[in-house]
Amino acid sequence: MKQSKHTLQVWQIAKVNLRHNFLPLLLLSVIIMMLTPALFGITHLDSKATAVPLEMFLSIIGIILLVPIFQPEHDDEIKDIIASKYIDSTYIHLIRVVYSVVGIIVLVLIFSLFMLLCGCEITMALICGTIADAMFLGSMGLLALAITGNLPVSFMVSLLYYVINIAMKSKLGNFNLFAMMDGNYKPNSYLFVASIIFITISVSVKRGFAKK
Amino acid sequence: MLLGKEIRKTVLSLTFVAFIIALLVMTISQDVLNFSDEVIVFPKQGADYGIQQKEVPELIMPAAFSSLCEEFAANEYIAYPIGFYKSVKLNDTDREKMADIISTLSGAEQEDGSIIIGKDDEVSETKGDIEVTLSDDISYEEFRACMKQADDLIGGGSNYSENNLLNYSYVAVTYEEAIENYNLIASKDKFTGAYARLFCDFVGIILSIFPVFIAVTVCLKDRRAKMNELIYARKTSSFKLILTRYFSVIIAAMLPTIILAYISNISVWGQYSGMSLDYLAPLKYTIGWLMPSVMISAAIGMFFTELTGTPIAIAIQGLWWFIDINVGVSKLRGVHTLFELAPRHNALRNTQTFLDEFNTLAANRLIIVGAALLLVIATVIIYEQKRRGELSGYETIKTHIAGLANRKSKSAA
Amino acid sequence: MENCIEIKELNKFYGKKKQALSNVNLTIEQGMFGLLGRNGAGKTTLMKTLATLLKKQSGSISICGIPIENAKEIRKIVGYLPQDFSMYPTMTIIEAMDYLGILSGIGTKERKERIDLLLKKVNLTEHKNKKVKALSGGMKRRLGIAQALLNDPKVLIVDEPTAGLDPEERIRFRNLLCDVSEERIVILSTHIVGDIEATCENLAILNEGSILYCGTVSDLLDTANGKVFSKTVDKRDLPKLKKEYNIIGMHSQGNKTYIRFLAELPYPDAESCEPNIEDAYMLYLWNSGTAPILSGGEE
Repeated sequence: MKQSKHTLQVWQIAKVNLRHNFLPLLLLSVIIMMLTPALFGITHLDSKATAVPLEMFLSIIGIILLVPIFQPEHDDEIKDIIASKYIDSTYIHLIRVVYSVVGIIVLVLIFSLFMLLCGCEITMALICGTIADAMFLGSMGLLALAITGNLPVSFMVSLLYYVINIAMKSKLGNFNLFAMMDGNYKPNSYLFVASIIFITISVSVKRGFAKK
Repeated sequence: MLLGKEIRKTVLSLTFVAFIIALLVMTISQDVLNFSDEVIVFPKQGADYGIQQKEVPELIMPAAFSSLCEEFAANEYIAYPIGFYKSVKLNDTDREKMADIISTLSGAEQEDGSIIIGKDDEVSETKGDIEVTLSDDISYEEFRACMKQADDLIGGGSNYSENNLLNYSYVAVTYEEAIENYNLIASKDKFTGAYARLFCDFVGIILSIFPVFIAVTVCLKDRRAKMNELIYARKTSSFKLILTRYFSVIIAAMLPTIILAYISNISVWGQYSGMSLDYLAPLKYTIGWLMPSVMISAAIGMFFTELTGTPIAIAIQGLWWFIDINVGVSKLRGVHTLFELAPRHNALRNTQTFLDEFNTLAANRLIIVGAALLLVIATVIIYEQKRRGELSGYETIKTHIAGLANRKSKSAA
Repeated sequence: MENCIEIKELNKFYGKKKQALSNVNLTIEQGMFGLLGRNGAGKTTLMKTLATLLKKQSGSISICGIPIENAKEIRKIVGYLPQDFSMYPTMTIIEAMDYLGILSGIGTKERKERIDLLLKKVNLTEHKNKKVKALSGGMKRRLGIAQALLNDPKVLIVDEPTAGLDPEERIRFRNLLCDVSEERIVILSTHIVGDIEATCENLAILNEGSILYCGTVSDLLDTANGKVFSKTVDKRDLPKLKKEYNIIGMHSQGNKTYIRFLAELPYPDAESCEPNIEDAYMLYLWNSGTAPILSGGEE
């Protein structure tokens, strides 16, 4: 009984946030996804060529979906009201993280399926790698937002890392976002684990600031 | 003074600090702050002077034709329209047109999209099984025209585009050419110009996107602090306010860039003692090459932020930037187009290419500056409308769209 | 569980230097309790601390027997309306109430009933589908009080609720607060004396983080008895008189000016007046040595 009440609560909070805070971001991510075939050829590509649009473009949805997670309560006037309620704000942030990550996974899966139907060589490793890329990029910006409270700066942090990857590629070792284009899948797990760490630190930092 | 205050506001923001960090990270990671290891010396007889792309018809024509026939047989053409690999398959109509082109170049007949060799032979459909050769009667101009047609059929960015044809023709640089290149650098670039150009090539990548964040922050600051009405009610004209803010963003972005450009350039001054150097080269290049990119980036930031009241400008500029830097990959040797955002010239030498492309580059930079200024004027108009309560950004757009939808449904009814 | 708030030796610092609250001791019983003080006195800091939004440095607070450290349990029984209040602008009133109700841990059925009841109470039922960003200041405040009452709190904390409201809205709001203060502790923090006068039996005066007075309104008024005077003077004499008297009110009557001022001892040719809360409040500030410059400067 308590479990079902709890589940209902989670769903109700998620529903409101999905509608009011997530929808515009999802729309922008869908636009990115739909632009990808317009910018890149996605027919009959081998795995290395398939990795190109996934790593270089689709992974940007991570920035769009993850970075603004703390933004709805950026306004002090809203923050105090939400913070004074029984349900902890951290709980809300975690719900947002979960549905944002689910959003990334769903969009990557949809696009990968589309590429598969176009005759591309899609593997689970490619799909997981793209998700890891997206989460890593987004979680960097999320951490910046937790620390600075400044959304443009947070986007800049993610974008800067993206630019560094274009300029330096393999010099970034196991944190190279574009490794799959060279057939290297080792960074995927590093990027994924790092993204989980960044997200955890972000939520903790936000919680710490709230309890000052 | 208003400009001083706006610059202060801009510079004392976290966004600006992040911009400086981005600039430093880029310049340090790409090793463009210290060129002392890359001294340009007078060529020695018998050394290896590298290779160069050179338009040698005797090399280009057979190689490009052979490649075209191979791709025709497989009906699979490789293209890089925005710098990314794309595999193009032609439909029947276009395939016939392509067959026409090959027929023109080889003299062989074509029928229903297939090339006929001899009387009854037909070209095999599998890759590599081509026996068609380039006709001796075809001039290079005719050949190029046919290649352009082929590239258009493929959709651009193919191996047969004007730019990519040169990829079939690499030749070794001769001693005389090496001396000529050196003399060009000494006389036209005065050495420092070459380094300044290379600096701009790398830094342009950052400067064509990051100023949009500064501009968005500047525009959203009033809204965040709930100061809009306080400012709207003041005497200062919208023109003065917007222009001052715009210039504060430009100055804030350009000052550190100029400083870094000089740091980069000064690193080689000592290597050319006794030679005639252009000490103003870093200034000329940062202003002429980089500033237009900063201007358009900031202008787009201000325009869309004032129009919508949201940071959507970041996504818009981001998209243009993304396409531009990837298209730029195919133009690294210094070829320019009229609407590029961040001109590339990823070579220390290649002065001749720079000189050849100078007019296009200058036209491009002027077009970009013109577009930026137009956007700024449009921003002033929007701001003035908002000040009079006739426009409230995104809400007005939504209302207009809703209004249009209503009108449509009414007329349908 | 006793229905009161006990605050003992409460201290709160911002950074190392700024002390926002200094050895605050208060006991707040059921009913309307006013917290009066000028801007920057520490009222909002105290309100936020009670609402578990700020951490104290030292001292103890218990709300209905629950120590303040137990934030989760405190939030169950406290309703808070901050000074600057807003909600996600794209939400309608009903959506905002529903979301805040979810965050208050209220079940679906109960939530719906409470929302309908509260919107009716604050006269927002017919506006329930209006977006938050389209609400007037008064409507926003009413929404604010409605959301603070969602969880039927034992303690209601309202921070400067009437600032910026027109007189009609202000009276409506005060009446609403009085209504809800039955069987509840309502702490009303304000710098508008009229709010206290109209609604509170007990109050505390906070100044620079310290409590200057805590007690009933009538006792406060007693302390000011015989210390408030009025006089009609020539306008030309005003500059001189401003230096001499602690003027707390004046208005022109032709070329004469009626002044109201504080003094420890009776003044000849000045009339003794019945003190109001504002007079008593100013007297306390004056006696504490933090008298503000009331006279408005040279003419």
